[in-house]
Amino acid sequence: MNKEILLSLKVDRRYGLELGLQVAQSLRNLILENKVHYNEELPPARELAALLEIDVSDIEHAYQHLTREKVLTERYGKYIVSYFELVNRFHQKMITLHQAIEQLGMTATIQTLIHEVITVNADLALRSGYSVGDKVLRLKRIYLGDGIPLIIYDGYLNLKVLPGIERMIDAITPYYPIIVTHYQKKLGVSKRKLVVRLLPLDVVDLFKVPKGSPSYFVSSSLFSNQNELLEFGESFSSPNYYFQYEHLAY
Amino acid sequence: MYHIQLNKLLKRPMYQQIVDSLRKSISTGQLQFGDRLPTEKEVCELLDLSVIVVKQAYDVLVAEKLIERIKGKGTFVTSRTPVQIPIAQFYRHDTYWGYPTKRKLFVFDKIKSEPQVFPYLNMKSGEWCFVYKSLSVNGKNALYFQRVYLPQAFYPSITIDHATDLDLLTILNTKGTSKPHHMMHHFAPIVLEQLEADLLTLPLGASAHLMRTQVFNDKNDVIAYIINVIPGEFVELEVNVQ
Repeated sequence: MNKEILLSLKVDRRYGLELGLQVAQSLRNLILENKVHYNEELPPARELAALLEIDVSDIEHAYQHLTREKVLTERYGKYIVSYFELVNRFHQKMITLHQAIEQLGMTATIQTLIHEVITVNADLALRSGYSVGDKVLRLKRIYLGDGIPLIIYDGYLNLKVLPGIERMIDAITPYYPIIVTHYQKKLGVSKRKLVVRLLPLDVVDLFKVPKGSPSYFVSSSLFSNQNELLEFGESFSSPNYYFQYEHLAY
Repeated sequence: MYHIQLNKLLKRPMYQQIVDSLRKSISTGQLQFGDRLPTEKEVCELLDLSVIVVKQAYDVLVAEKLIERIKGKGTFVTSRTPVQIPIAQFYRHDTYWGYPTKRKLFVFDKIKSEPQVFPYLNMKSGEWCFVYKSLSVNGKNALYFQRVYLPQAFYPSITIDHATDLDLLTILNTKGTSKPHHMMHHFAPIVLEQLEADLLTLPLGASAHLMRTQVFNDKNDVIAYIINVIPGEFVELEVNVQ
């Protein structure tokens, strides 16, 4: 790790906060400012203590403090940054989840959990705008960045408009290109509703985050430019996932 | 009591009929957050039912988190009517999304340091900034808790009267040395800490949107910074993506 960055860790003996917590605070800031990155290994406590001219126990205290906060993890006696913050403009412009992950500089992969044709029941009809009895392809997928689960997406594709698509989609590839090229559909608008929910227990396990973590729960309806409902979907994203949205002032 | 409708000739169990009718009244907004339901005993006497039936119905609604029993006080509606807000129109609520709000101001101050905020305003510690905090309420729904930061360099003479009487857009557009040009919002999911939970009348640990907005002028200076804490479950942010 760059020595200059480490020297920017500030401690002030006159300040009322104990030195270990001061180091923890400024190290956390460096991580949040993206100056120290996800998966980066921190220097041994002894080395950093010598550099900052403070006691090694203060550095150990700081590392342990940040480990409890899940900012760092300890692996074979070494401390590694486990926090990442994902910020993008996913809701500003139509892009696929796969593209959104790649825009974050990560390698995107997909795992499919459910791939089956189902009949819409009353509950799904109420949420989605489909009618009871409609046939849809349910696709439940996990989108991963660098192997870390980031988004779990439950999609229901309209088989009336996209007949046979259940046989064209594989388990690991994005399917928007099939809609556009094979079915010659032009994507119109995706109408989304965003609420924040505490993650359900099964998703907590999947994202490996503490119980009670909050997440954006998004319901989206994708329409073609002919106003046909192509897909309804619901997703949870990792609690580290933030998004930005920009517009002109009024 | 008129929220509970029963038809003893139907096959559907009585407790289910009570659940159905209360659920309907809550979802349509006839019963609102904070409204008190009749006690189980009152319902039994008036509708000539056994206590077990009414208790069973209330238990179902408690499990669904639509109502809550508070010892010594009664049973209250805890579910709130969902509110839909288009993201890009968030600051125009009174004129655009049609939810008249009441705003209560409770802090007005002038500060020269706040490490969590000054970096987003490109300000250094020692420069002056006005700050005010308020809570906006729509009927019985606490809609959001807001902190507004206005650097003195761009808003030289903000007073407590401005903060009390004028809505945010009027302040941003008429009280500054330059006009707002664009806004950048940053959204993050959070859980509420005690103070914010109390203000928003939500339980500790409930979910919320943390919406932080930088307001820029046409020279790309950040002229204001706003932090909103918005209940996560019943305030739905809407966006149409093309």
